[in-house]
Amino acid sequence: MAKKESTLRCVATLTIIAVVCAFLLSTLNFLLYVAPTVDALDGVYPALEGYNWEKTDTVDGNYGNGGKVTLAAVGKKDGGADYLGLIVTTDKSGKLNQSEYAMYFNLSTDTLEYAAFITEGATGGFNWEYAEAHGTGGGATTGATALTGLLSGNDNAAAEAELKVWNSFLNVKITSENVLDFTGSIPKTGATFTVTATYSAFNIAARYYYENYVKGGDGQ
Amino acid sequence: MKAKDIALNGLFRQNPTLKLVLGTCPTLALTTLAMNGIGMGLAVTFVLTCSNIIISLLRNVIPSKVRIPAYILIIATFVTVIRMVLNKFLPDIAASLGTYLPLIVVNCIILGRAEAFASKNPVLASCLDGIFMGLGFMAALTLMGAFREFFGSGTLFGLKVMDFSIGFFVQPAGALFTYAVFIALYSLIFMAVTNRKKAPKTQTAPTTEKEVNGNA
Repeated sequence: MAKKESTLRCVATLTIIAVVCAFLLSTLNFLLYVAPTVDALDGVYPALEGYNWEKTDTVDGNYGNGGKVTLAAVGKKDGGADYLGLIVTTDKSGKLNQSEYAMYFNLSTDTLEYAAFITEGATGGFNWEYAEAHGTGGGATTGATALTGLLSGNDNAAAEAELKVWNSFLNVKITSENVLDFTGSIPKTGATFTVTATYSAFNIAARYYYENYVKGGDGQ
Repeated sequence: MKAKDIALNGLFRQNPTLKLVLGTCPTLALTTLAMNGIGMGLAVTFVLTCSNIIISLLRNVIPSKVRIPAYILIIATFVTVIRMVLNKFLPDIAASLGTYLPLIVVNCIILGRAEAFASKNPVLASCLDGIFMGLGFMAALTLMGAFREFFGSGTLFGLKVMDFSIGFFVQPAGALFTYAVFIALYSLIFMAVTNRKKAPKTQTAPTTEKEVNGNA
């Protein structure tokens, strides 16, 4: 009995310390958050080597529970197409929440050309490459199908953005969870597939592009 | 223990770098520049002081069986805090300290002082111990950093002071050599000071002997 009490006391003490520490850190994390700089977009997409990135204002970059666009920059290079680079941070919904993704849009073709997972927040996913996901089984197929579903749905940002091609999403992590739209909610249509906060990141990027570069015309 | 003793222990008598030979990894890796020593020293001082205070406050609450995981949790929290603060306000120093900043969690000085001092002493004494152990660490790192920067790069705190430099001192081998030189110098000074303190006792001995003989 005494041993059991002692064990309980040990567990309770550690739990209380852990909870207090977590509370302190999450509060300070909010207060001491450092926004990414354009350097975060350099060297992620190999095809854009030598591009100069210039930060632009993020217009309506906050998407509630879904997350936010923490950096938007336009990349230019002599003789090359202009690109929009976004750093998207997912919020607290879904697995792999509070992660950071770098996403690159080709402004001349309206294509989300490349996306990469750069900072892991909450864990729970596995490495996933969109190009390889086509035609393969298991979770990879689920991911690919879910993305197709999102693209065909009436109520999702990716479709609205009229993105023509979704190419390679290297090092992006996907796992089985609920589909999340750009607000972090389960969308009304195209929601029969299981995905994660990563999809929220895709949708946030697509929504941002749609609002600022398609619907809004010339963006910034 | 008196405050003066705690201060002298941290800064000199039990200097964590030169006497206890703790925190060797950052000492060897970061002392290429004097400024790195100050940055690392201040970060360790903050973590050491804060963790000592909390551990001392909770010393009668934390069961001894889980004291080490509890200490690690507390230390890791303060390391994360200092990391966030440096990233926010001093990003250059955070970048120069690199991976050694989060590795403060496993720095033997912090856990060693938590176990050896803070868990057995009151809050004020533990706080002072944290401050002076941290300052002792910082002093050693800064002196070593200044020495290596001066001879290895010909600069001091980033300012050019001479035209020639000896590349060996900024190499890993130079770090080990410098550490050895500093430990040797410290030991010489420590022995000299200890002998000097003992000297008055030997001078008083004849008086006692005289008294003894006189009595006889």
